Amino acid sequence: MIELLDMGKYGVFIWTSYCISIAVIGGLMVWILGQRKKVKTHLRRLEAQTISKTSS
Amino acid sequence: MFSYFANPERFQNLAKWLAPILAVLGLLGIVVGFGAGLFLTPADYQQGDAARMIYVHVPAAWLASFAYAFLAVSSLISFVWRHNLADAAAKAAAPLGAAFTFLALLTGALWGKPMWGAYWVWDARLTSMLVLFFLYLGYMAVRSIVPDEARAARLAAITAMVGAVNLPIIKFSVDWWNSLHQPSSVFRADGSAIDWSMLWPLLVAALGYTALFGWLVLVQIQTELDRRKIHRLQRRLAGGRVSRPENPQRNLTND
Repeated sequence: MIELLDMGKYGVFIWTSYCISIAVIGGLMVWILGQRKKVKTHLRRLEAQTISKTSS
Repeated sequence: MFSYFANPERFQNLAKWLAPILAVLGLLGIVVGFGAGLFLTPADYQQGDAARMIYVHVPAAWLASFAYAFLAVSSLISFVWRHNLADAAAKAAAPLGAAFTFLALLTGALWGKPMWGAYWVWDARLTSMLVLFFLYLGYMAVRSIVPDEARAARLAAITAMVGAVNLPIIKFSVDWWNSLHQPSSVFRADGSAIDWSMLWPLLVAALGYTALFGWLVLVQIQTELDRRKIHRLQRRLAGGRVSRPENPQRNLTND
């Protein structure tokens, strides 16, 4: 286990670069999917408003 | 041909089935590529285990350039043919490209320290990648600073097209100037210089990054098209008044 973490004394650089990559990719996914959900909800609300306004 | 592919309705139909496929391919490619890079591939005879950083650094660097090429081509189509969807695609690619360029720079610095003894050197490859990062930031800044949406789109498209000159500089920087950065070792006229046992996880990770980019760009374009729809609906509800001028580029939606 220690050998795996140490990675021939380069462990700190290797694990940091993998962790940063996973964090950035994960962050991008959360941000983009979160925005999608928010905009979709807003659009649905506005469409409902438009329909009720045109029917009244 | 551009009109066919630029129709937002056709795009939505395409995105509906393509996005989940790209999402699965992307995540699977990254998990397999990273896992194999960390645990399966042998250590390099010169760099030892430090060479395992190739599986996070190189796909990010490739994608940084690929995303910019996508941004520049989309900007050209948007600028010349005024296609709404091409403009949305360019806008969608910019933050993703910036994030992958940031990753390439950061993982490169982490690889550089044990190999070169420094996190950063003003080497041609590193400097041209930093310029690429600033080009992405510049593109996004133009889009958010200029208040008129149509003008912002055109100015940003010009920025993106001019910045494309940096792509061949990145590619050939290691050949044109003396560089600490190693020359191209995968795409070479005489074949790859990397052994297959180390090459396949790199290709799988690169494919995963590219598919992930494709998926996230599709989702971003869908969000941008919905945002523009919201703007039109808000204008309709407000009786024609809008706080920010709508993009007057050719709009092919039927609503």
